[in-house]
Amino acid sequence: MTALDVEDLSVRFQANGRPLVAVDRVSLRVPSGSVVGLVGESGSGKSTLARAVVGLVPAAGGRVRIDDADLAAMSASERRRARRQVQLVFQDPSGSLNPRMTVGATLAEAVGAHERLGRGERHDKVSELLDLVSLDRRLAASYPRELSGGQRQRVAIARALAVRPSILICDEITSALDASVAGAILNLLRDLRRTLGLSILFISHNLAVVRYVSDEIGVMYAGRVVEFGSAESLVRSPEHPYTQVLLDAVPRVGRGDHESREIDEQESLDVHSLTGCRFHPRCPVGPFADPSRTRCASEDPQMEAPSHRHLAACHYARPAGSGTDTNSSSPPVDRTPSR
Amino acid sequence: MARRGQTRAALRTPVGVVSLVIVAGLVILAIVAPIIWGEEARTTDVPHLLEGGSAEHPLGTDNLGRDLLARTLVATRLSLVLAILAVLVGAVIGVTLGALPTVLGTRASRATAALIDFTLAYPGLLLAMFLAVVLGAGPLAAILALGIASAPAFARLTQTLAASIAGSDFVAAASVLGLSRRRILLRHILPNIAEPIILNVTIAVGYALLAMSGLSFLGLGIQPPSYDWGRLLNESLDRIYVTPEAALGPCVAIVIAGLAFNGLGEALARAASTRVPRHRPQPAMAEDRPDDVTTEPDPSATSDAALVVKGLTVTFPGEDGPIVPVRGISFSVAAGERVAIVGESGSGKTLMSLAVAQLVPHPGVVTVDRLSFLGTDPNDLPSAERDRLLGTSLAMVFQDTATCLNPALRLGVQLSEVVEVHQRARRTDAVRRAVDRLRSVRLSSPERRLRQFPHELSGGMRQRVVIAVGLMGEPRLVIADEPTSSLDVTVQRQILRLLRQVGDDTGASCLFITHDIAVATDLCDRVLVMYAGRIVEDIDAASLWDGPAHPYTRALLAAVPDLETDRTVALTSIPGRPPDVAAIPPGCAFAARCSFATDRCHVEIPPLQVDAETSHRVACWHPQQGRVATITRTKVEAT
Repeated sequence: MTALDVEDLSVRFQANGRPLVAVDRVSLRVPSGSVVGLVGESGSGKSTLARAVVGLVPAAGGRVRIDDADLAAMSASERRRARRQVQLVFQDPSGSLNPRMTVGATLAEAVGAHERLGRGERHDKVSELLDLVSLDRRLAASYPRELSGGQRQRVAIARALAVRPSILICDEITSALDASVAGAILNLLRDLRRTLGLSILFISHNLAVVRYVSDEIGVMYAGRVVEFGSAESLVRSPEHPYTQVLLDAVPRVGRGDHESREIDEQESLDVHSLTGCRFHPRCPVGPFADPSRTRCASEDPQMEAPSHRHLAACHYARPAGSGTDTNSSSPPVDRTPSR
Repeated sequence: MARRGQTRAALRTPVGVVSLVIVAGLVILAIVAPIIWGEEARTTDVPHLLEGGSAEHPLGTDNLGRDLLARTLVATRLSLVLAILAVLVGAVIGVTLGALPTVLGTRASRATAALIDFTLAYPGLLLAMFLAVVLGAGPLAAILALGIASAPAFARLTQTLAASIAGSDFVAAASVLGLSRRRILLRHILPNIAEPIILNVTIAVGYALLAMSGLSFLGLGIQPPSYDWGRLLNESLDRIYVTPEAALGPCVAIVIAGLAFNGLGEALARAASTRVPRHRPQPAMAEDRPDDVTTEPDPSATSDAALVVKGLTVTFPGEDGPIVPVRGISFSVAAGERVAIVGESGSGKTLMSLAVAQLVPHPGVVTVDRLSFLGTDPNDLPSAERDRLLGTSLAMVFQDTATCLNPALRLGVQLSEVVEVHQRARRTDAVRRAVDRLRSVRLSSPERRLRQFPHELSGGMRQRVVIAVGLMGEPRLVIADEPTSSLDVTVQRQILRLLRQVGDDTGASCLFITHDIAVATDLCDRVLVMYAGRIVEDIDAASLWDGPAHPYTRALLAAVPDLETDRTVALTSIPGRPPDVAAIPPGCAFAARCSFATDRCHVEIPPLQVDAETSHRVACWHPQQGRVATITRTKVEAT
């Protein structure tokens, strides 16, 4: 079993000639054998973070450690071997499989990526992988276009497992699938975690799905993790106003129309260059709701644990007052920043 | 093997057939001509020097009295071989150069790209001539010159294609696996770009024939005693006013060969880029409806309904008989009512909504027993009146806001044209109305928005504009097809609220198509669940949580985790996959995936039965009861 540590990781892009910090000094730990969920809306940087961890986009700063071994301190060949341990499964299985290769060829190539094997051994390994993701062995001869979306996603998972990784990063793996199929993929992930002892970083925009699979959840907004805590605690008593808005927005069967905190939509990408809290222009409890809270626009809130339940980056963090909260709702507490 | 069939179909076009025949003829000629006419082409005939056409020498003779027709035919081999070799040299250099950026590091790949840009700036033929002069006269030099000159075009093509493939997820996955760049290039990138490159090679042979003839004509290519068409033309041109037929042979040969290779390349390119229907669509008659399609009973159809649909069927011509994605659907939407259509991909929900709006794409055929929109059947109206009715009373909202607004037009134009066309409103009135509508969808500073382009707005704002466009008329029915599926959850809530508000303000009904049953209950009063082209359940949104009757609806509810789902229990999953629309099994289409199915389910289609009290409709032989939350794991199979 292996743990993944992300420390102060930053990723910068050029957008329309201006620098954009897509991931801004994010720290995150996936303890060995556990599932950490990462939730956020489009543009929050969650996919970029995943790509930076596996080396698909260069990091502008920070460290990635696999079992306390710093990737940046390794030689190129050591790093290549270490990276094998972290595999990424993509959102769209029709785009993540080479349309000109059969399922068998795709898996065999992955099996042979890090060890030299004979034809017979490779064939056996491919069959084992198909068994692992509950696919018929005969599908090895099929091309991706002949499979359903769910089957393709299983192949993509099998390919990631082919190099026997200890950490799996799942980037929106159920978003492109139909509801009935997505459930089966989540079940598969549960089983694999148990049987293979995988550590999983599970990324999704769907808070309900993230809560279901994860032990701990990080909420991302504008390139930063703004709240982090155990899944139940975060969903039951969210402290960051953004998390509360996200929770309110989750559609629920049989609830009908309900009163909820709503926020205005972001109009530009300038959110990354704001001073202070990046959420403050949209925040339902921020300076635009309460003019006395000028701090939000000037001081950058740090991750703290005011309630000792979990970490939140908000000057006025408090548990949600209504609905999902089972704890007593405390009044807003003005805290002095620990700087 | 569909691809091969397509290629064959495209080659059956007149241009394709003619080009293919000529190219085949040229190849045969290139092989046999030197064997048959080689002797004749070499034989000097001293009494007949520089003659014009005669019975013995149809195209005349050259300065040594050799037969020009025979020489033209024999020259086919050298001309073709030179052209093809030149193209191959160009393709090999070009593809290698173009593929390098994907294998090299950032700096080296930038340098390569700059080199390609630099060389592309030179006209190919000039470059070839320059190189031929530098490399010296002769066939080898000509091949190299022409090859090098054509390489930049191949390099640019390869570079562009490779860059698009290199950005795909499967290449990213291969790189995460730790595969070498060389292997990624050979296994993942090149096979996926081979097709367009091969097409371009074919077309390039045509150009190379012309270019090579040009070089030989200028005395830079083939040197005597060898000869190709260009060389023959060079030798005959100074006699063009005396014996024009002498120049005719090589001229015609060059033109025909050039056109044939171009034509073949173009035909192949068309085959690759378009899907040619293998079966000509036949207009289906109402009688063509398959026997197993039955009309569903619908108790909720009242006289004041905004929309009444009875027995709606959509048929597409297929390879093995008609495909029926929508199979005899009946439902109605009362005035002001919000109805959700829930189904997975392939359930026919979108096609059904397009059929209601008379927007089913060719060659689909819509048949319906009864369609009533605001009391009239649009099909009974003259087309101008029908367009006005649908244009002003029906609003459509689609999922992809980026494509349903014209990116080149300002929002003001797109909003006001609706009323200008259908209600012949004056410009100023239309603009005033547009501002009002934008305000009603709660967009800030509407006057400013009118001058903006779609790309200046975020996805949620664009969706508001699309809804505002629908509100420019007097909509009585809003059909919204997955309007929030590409939006963030916080924005989704706002759009749902807006749709609800639009209904409350205008009294318009709403038909809301979605794959997400939870979202459906958020907005709608009633939920219709579709499976394989049929409605399997029609239920009040409020009753959904207390227990739908159809096993499919129940499985859908149980398959999606919500914020209260027990994390220690596996989710219910539906085994198998939805049936292929081209081969929907007899009986209940869900039977193969249903844990309650009996023999009867596989044979007899369950009718959509109505509960007289609640007007809850369900099509199942074994309807279930009770809350869904109690359902635990059935079995996990490959889906």
